Amino acid sequence: MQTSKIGLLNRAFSHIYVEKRAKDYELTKEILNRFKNANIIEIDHYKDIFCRSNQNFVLQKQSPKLILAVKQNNLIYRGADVCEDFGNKHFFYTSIMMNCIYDCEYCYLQGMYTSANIVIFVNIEDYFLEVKELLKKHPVYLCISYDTDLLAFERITNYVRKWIDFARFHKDLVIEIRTKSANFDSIKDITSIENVIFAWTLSPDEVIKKYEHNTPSLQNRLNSIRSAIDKGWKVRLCFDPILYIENWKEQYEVLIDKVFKNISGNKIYDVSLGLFRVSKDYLKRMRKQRPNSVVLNFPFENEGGVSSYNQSLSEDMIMYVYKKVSKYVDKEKIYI
Amino acid sequence: MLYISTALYIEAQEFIKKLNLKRDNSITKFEVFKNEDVLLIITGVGKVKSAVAVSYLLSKYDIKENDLFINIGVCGCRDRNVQFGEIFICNKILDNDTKYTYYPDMLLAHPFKEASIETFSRKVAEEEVEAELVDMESSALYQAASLFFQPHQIIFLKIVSDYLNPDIIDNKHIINIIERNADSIISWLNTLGRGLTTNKEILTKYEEDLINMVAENLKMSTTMKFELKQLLIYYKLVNNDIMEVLKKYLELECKSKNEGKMHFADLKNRLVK
Ligand code: SF4
Repeated sequence: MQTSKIGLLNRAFSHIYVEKRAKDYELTKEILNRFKNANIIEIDHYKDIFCRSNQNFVLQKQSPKLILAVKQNNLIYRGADVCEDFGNKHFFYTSIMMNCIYDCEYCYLQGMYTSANIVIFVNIEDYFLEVKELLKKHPVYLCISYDTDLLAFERITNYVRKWIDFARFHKDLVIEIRTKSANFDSIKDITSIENVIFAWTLSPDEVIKKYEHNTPSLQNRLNSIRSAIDKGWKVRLCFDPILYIENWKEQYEVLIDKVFKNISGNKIYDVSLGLFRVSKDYLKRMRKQRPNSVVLNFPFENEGGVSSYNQSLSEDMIMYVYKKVSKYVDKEKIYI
Repeated sequence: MLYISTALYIEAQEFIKKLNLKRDNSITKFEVFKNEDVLLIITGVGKVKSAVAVSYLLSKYDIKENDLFINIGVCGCRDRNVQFGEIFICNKILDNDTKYTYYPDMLLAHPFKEASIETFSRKVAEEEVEAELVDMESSALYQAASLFFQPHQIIFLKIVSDYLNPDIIDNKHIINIIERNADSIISWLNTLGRGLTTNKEILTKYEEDLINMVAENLKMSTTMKFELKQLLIYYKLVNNDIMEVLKKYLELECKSKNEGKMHFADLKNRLVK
């Protein structure tokens, strides 16, 4: 028997797993209608698929499935310590989706999740209810696109649009929408509001090409950012994670110059800088999934359970990028 | 390697013939047939027999990332619009006794239809069946195979032989529907497996040995040795070679741990600038 041919993988979203209780939600119907050729498989609970043991994250990234589910508890939670809170006391985040269509080699989700399949929780109204409850107690700063990339998925879920509509009527709520996508077009008709921040992650072209598989080019992201600013949206630039790569100084200098050639520094709401850092346990799992990855195999140092570059390299890198960015943006607007 | 299981010899015989499999006489407890790329075991009917046979077989081998397990067999079907001989790949497996459900990971493309299957330990009446297909082994085989394989490496290929009335079918009928389909199944099997490899050992055995030697020469603790190894994995991924940097330390014999530490600090500085 001949076995030298390459086995082919199914296309993305070849299968859609639907929780019984998610079946009647409008979004479920829309998605099933959109992917008419997909195999639909009914499940009891999203964890039956998502939490199977011993899944192959890297192969799943090449053939991701959709899981439509109803999230029941823990819809909104407090921000973890490793996340920048931008001075917000009531910092929360929420994962209305888990995983994303991109495939960044350094993504911590491959250490956190057992699966690369994409879960969409279809009960967005329950999320709104929980935020409303919190708002009764205090203002809320909420990251809605942390463990996923909501804007990249907008044409399928309309979730960015729905969150913005919700925020429009809740002035004490500030929403951050983090993205690498170039998909601003999908929401360009929406009138901007003050309490929503789009946070774009930017990396040198070389990093995008080598490590941020399937993501839009730097230029395309910049075009999206420009459109967002022109429409009056607040835009945060995230140089995060900053990676140690060959010629990193040159690479980050070229990146920063290019960014601010395209976008005027004084139109930026703020800038966030962060080095690659990840919990030690996640890193172990990430390396197991991608044993050949140069970025993940860097000999990081472990401090308090968090792995990152050693102190002197960290200082060099962050100060270098800080200095370059501060040529273009007021220092008070740069968060480290 | 492709590990195939069938419950009955008559389900296997066409594949044994077409793939030119030879009886493995070193295994006496079960009938096992093989060629260079395929190992086929006849498990017997039912959950216990099939799980025992497959565990027995798989525990003898070192299962690789691009190996696959595939169960091929006939099954019953509720839907009378489905023709006898129609092939399905199972995307959901229910165990009727325990009510547990299992999901093979559907990563591999195939030209067949898909369906759910329910495994019973006894003869069934149509109204008790929840899934589209019915058999007597799948749920147990999945559990046994998943001790050795990742969920995308486990495949159930079922050929419809009856409408939940297996008593009326005979061997000839089974042989006939398998014969009709064997070529299309084999041509799909031919495309499988390769390209599933994502993992690769970075350091060779020889390089590992050298690292151990250097760790000894530098009187390193276990933690430091671990650190050294990670450093060299990184260095090799970037530069493709670690011999050049290790050479210097192969001959060196440190007198104390402190001396070793100094050399290690120096090595670190050289490798990660
Ligand atoms: S875009 Fe973010 S969530 Fe998606 S793979 Fe990259 S790092 Fe992970």
